[in-house]
Amino acid sequence: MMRYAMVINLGKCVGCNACTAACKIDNTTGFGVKYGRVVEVETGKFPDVEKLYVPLLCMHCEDPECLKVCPTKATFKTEDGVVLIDRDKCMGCRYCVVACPFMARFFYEDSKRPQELPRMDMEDQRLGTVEKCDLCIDRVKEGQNPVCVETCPYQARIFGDADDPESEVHKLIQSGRAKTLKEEDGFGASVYYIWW
Amino acid sequence: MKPFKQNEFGKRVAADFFLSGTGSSMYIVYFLSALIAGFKLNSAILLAGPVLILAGLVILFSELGKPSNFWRSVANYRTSWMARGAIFNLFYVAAGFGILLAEALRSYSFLLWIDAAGFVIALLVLVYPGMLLHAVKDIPAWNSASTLAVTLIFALSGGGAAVILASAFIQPQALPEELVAAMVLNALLIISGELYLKALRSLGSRKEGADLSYKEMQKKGGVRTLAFLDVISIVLYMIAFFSAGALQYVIALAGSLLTLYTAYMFRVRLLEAGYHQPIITKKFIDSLKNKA
Repeated sequence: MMRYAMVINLGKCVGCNACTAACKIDNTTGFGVKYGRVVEVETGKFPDVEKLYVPLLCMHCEDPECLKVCPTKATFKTEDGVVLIDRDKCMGCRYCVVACPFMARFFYEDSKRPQELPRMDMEDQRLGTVEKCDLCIDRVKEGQNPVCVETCPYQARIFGDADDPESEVHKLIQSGRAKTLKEEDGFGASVYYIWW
Repeated sequence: MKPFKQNEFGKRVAADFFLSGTGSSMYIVYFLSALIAGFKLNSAILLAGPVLILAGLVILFSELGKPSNFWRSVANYRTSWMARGAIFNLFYVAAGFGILLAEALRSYSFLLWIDAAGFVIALLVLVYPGMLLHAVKDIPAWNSASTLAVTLIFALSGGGAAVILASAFIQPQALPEELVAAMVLNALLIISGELYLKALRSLGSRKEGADLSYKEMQKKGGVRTLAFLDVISIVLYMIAFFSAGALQYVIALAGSLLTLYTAYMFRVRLLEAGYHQPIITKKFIDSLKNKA
């Protein structure tokens, strides 16, 4: 069984936001909509302080809260662990946006549409629905990496099949050094973080 | 990273919660007054319930991005509390009009059944907003048993106030009994609001999101301000109880309007105070570095 996962090395991320920009361009997201973003975090106490950059995206949880609350079954999970939204089924109630513990979902409304651009493909289907990172599933199915992984100039992101013992992702997860966000809440994220 | 606030559920969702809570509570007050006190309220008062719930559904509908897909939520009742809420609301509207129809046709055996069914559905409508919020695991201020209790009591007090409002015009002789019930409900509401704040404060010592929610609820116009307005409502109800004639109606109406205002504003405050737990914590960073 295949299970897609991503490991992000926080020791390598410099917060250049190349992934954020590439994701926005590739997915033609609206104003204020970032499927992937990089958050600045300060740790330590003066004078021993440190600045960290933590990339955030949809965690493609094992037990997704967004899926549980969706009243129309528009949110679903594929066999390979990717959480997706069927735009044709979404009624735009935004319950999933509220329920997502990682702030990874966005409601696409007219005010977020880039007005100066020509109407994009799927525009009418997108309006009034919720959207989020789909792990660039179309690219992945063609054997490519998600665009954020591809763009990272420091190779801070590693993508692959977590169930394949030969994959780097699997080895990193099995090493015990990788951690997920809000691990104690049991969401079971498929995006892991590591520091080296 | 600080806890982040939900911004999607706002005043329109609060209005739906308020209208569905008030509408269903009106029926519960109607049913219990007949069952416990043997006092039959005019069934025309009952008409307000389905009308309020329909108004709530219209508001909720206007909030949807793609209302054309609403039917899917009705078809998927097993999925979430949002879907169940939509179904309960629609059933309640049907039951409400069914009762009115049975009364008009004087079909008393049918009325008995539909009365009991209406009561059960009204209870379900009453609990659904609390359950819907409770299902959001990452917002500690919502994901607690106290949220269920406080939303229930605020809905009941709103229902009591709405019955006073309706019966002042339709069945004024019922006013004294209703005023006593409304005073009890308002007193319960003040106590439950205070207990909810206490529960939030104790939760806040363990969860940052709850701590911010507590602070938001404490702000000017928060739960304590609303409780103060409810005390004024109780005083107005008391004055109305000992008054007579037109003065009684006017004071009772003022008290009920104030209660309805606080019942709505509480929902607004509850939604505004929806803080998630922080995504990135010091514990997470430290454990990553320790494993490096």
